[in-house]
Amino acid sequence: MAAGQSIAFDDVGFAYGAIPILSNINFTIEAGTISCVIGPSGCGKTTLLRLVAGFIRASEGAIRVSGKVRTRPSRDVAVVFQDYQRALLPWRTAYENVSLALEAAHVPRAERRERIEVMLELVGLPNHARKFPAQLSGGMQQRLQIARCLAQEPSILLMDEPFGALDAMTRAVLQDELLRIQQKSALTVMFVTHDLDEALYLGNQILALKSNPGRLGRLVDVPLPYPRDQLATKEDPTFLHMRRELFSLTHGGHQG
Amino acid sequence: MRDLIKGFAINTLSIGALIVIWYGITAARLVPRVFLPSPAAVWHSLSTGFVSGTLLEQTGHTVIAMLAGWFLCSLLGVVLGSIIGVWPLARLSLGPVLEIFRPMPPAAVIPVAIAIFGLSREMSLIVVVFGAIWPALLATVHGFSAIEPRLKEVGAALEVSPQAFVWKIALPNATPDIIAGMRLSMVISLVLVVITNMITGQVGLGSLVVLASRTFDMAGLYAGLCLLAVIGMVSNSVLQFAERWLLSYRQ
Repeated sequence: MAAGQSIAFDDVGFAYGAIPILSNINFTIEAGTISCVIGPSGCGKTTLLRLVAGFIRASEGAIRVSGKVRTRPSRDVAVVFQDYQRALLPWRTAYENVSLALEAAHVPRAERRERIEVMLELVGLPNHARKFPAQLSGGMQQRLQIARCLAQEPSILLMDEPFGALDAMTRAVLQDELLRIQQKSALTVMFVTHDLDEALYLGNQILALKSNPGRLGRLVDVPLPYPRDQLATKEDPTFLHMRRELFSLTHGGHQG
Repeated sequence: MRDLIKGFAINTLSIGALIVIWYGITAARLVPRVFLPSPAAVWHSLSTGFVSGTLLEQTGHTVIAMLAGWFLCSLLGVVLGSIIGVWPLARLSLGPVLEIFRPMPPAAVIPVAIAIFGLSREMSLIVVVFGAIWPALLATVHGFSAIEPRLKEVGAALEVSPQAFVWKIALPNATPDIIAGMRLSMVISLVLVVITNMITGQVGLGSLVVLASRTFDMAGLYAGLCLLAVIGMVSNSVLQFAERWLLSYRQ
């Protein structure tokens, strides 16, 4: 996998017509780190991610990936969507869904098999290659989507509440697998979530947005060491202290 | 597989029940024989017709005409529908033209078709295509235009080329709609084959039915109707099987 690239937000603003969604966003995600974006719903978290993906363009300012202004989607930035059942091709098997990324990148047929098998192995689905998405559980479908995203050999992984629809146990397992994969590949990860615990557990850095319009509330570094542990990390005094401090930012004074 | 056998058994039973009721009505003479012959009389008419070979020829012509019309409808409908569904300019320019032709009753086109092509097989084919293409065409357009926005984003993030997107994502995504449209086109094809056949009097089940009714050969008339029912049922179940097989990924 390619080593990560940095993402710089340079006075970024976005508006739907006259309605401002995001304004004055300034911060940088260092290459090879995990940044978690949190904030109340409707604060523009997903919009921020879609800007980096290149699905929409900033109304003001610019987003730079390793210094280059981002204008449209490209293969080196992969997006993991929350609604995995819509993002997978239901008529393709797990194997063929991963293959889509390689076909798009014009990887010769002879090389595909091995690479697909490596990806399915990496996300823990080596025995489900011949199954269709409808035959997989939600957690497995999300693993499959992650496998496809990794198969496109991105340097940046954008994740939009990827574990939001999963049960707590599956979510914890996938969090750990994400950390394991990220540590190994040094991908740059931008992870959008509304779950503060998840953000603290995963991130090197937390970006808390405020709403109306979406703007930077707080930008804090998470000094917890990697590898992290579901029990030890979450009992760490630093974790608990930060959780208390940031709680008001996501919940305080704003319902839903 | 067990569901399939169960479904088949129930279907057979209900059709059997229908024949028993039919027999009961005729045996009790609830309806004059002139209007409703007994199942035995219809069966006799069917078997003598097939033994002499005339019924086989007529059935063959009708089935071939239906399949040819349906095939053309599906081919043109899917190709044209894909172009309209994928290419906004085609939708804008062809949309109004199609809206003029679509509500036109196909039977009304028959005189025009006869004037141009005469009482030929081509004429019948044109009428069938004109009337039966719509379900296949409109379902294809719908299938392509109703594509999940998320899949467009997936394609964009992977930099899938526009041609590959149509072939690998949009077309398979539209397949359930396309098959549903093709099944409807098949039903309408049969209807139109019979109607044009009634008008032109060429060899076929449509002219057989008309002739039988004019000569008060009620058993022959019902034999024709039974054959048409069987053709409709068999063609529909074949397509239903094809649909299940093609869309097996959904379970």
